[in-house]
Amino acid sequence: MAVLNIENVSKTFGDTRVLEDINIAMAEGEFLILVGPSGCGKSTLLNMIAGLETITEGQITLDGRSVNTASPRERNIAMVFQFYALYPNMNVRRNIEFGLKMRGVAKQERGATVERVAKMLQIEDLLNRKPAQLSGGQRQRVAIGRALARDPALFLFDEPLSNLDAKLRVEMRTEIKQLHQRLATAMVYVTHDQIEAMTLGDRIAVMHAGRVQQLGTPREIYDDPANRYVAGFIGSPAMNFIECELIGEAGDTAVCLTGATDEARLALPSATTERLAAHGARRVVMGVRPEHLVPAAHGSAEAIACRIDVVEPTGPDTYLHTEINAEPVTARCLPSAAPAAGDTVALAVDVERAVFFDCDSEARIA
Amino acid sequence: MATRTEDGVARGGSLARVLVYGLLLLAAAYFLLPLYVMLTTSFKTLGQISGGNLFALPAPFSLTGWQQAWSSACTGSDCTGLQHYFWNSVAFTVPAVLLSTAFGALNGYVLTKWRFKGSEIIFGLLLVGTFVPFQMFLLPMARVLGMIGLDNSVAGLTLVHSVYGVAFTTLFCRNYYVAIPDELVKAARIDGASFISTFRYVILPISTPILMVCVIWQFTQIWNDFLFGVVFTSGDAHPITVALNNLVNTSSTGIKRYNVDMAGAIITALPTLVVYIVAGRYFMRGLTAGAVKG
Ligand SMILES: Nc1ncnc2c1ncn2[C@@H]1O[C@H](COP(=O)(O)OP(=O)(O)O)[C@@H](O)[C@H]1O
Ligand SMILES: [Mg+2]
Repeated sequence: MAVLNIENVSKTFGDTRVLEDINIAMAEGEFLILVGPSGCGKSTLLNMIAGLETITEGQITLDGRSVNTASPRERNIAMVFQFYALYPNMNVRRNIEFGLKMRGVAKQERGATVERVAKMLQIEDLLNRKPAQLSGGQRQRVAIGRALARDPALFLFDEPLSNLDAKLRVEMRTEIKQLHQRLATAMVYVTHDQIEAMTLGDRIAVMHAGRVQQLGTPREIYDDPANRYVAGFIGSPAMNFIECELIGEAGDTAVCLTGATDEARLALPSATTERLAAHGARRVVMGVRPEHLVPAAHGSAEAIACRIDVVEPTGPDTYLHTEINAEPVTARCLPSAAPAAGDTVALAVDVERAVFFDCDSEARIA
Repeated sequence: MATRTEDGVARGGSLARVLVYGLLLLAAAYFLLPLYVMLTTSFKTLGQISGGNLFALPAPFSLTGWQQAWSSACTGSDCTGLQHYFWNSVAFTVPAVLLSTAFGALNGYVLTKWRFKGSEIIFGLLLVGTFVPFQMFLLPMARVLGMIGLDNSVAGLTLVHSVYGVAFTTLFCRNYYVAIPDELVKAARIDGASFISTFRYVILPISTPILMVCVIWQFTQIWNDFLFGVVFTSGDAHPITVALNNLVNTSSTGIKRYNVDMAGAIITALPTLVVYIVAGRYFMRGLTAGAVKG
């Protein structure tokens, strides 16, 4: 049975519709990511799951029970907020046990829970401090501790790491993943950071403009994006989008790509050509990730000669900025094989991994 | 000629400085001299007052003025001093201050953390309440008090001052609570706290500065009020401000007893002074809090 089931949920604030027909079912113990740009409605959806916002349309069920009208107290959930939201007047111990106190748990049991949670998060020596005396990382630990204390059926995280500096963020990310493996409790985690989404999630819901654009495993989202938006949002550096002409018949289609000089024709795999033929358009947008646009093997027939504008070493990889069909693209190469800026390099496209989108609707075609 | 000082700020020469200090001293004297005259006069005998210098120290030092002002001076036909009226004022000021502060805090909490349809309009209406002058309340309030049977009573004055004050305390508290992150209230709701327990355990404990602002403001307004007191009460139910006025204007013997008048005035002013000294250090903090998130 699904822990959380979101069915046809929409939300309007006054006249503005911020969420449109959301459908997500979450399995026991799953780690679900809501990812999308700022303002796309992630927090609103999370607040609706928590009971902090009303549901305009549709239904949300927790453990098979509709919670549309239930108060947050009546839902077995815990939440961690972006700005920690620790009670400033209470010390760490009282922050952690507040939820238990409000639910009438006896003092002795509360003490035992605080000890257990503090030990798990290694904050035992902070218990008597006030939030103002803690660093950002420590505050977020305490906020997580407050959520853990209640042993809920579902955890909600709203961008919990976005206030931390880069190094701490990576550490805490790993810790949250370990925590999830240990507790095996379902978690919904909101972030605008696609790396966090890829590394943490069992499944990812990519949101944009109030809709779920795609819901799938990190691999599905990365390799098989549902539309151009998802393809461009996930992955860093971003996927290259090249508008191009299709030539030839079904079963024998090629795309025309022009680099610095001559036009190159790339034959497409037959499965791709069939889907393109079914769609019928002659102009399409081809999506190629930088790791699938690499220097060609010597003497390759389908190579595109490109003049490299900028060379960008990142350590493990070096990225090359150039143009194909007059659009800026990024290619990847080994640092040892990196050319210099201004060089002309023959680049090859891995057409098996290329994806195609409609020019206007941006929907995935093939 | 400007000279560089240790802290790097250029200041004027000695002439400018003499001028500045001179002005400051003058201003201080302007405010302190009346107080000095009041204090010394209150401890003088009638003989010294009529014969002596206004600025001289009391000799002999006499408490007669204070004793009479407190317990035997005549305010109109009643000759029992100010004490009865002092307690009258305490009896309506304390509950009115507490009530208006409590309601102001609750209103501010609702208007910022539990917004509902039309809550902005309600706040706007309350805001208008802070601009309405005292005098406009008089007639309608008199009628209402008569209708509910609270005219000429301490309870009636409590009601009037509470109602009038709520507009101000709501404004203060609302502006303070608006700076408190909403997530704090959300966290409390997730933790299972109700509307009241969120207020009691989360909001109230961090409200001290603004509550002090409300208490000082309301205490000063209510204790010092003359108009409501003179209009809505008579005789026995008068507040101390009205009684002081009567005391000063009643002289059975035809002689102005300045020592009694001054002692009476100081007795009347003393409670506000005490409140300022006790709660004052929170006052500035409360007025500036929220400007910087801390
Ligand atoms: N209480 C509200 N009233 C009106 N509009 C709101 C309210 N809360 C959020 N919004 C709007 O809804 C949209 C989604 O907000 P939010 O869920 O906070 O986005 P995200 O968390 O993805 O950044 C935004 O455009 C925001 O301005
Ligand atoms: Mg958000």
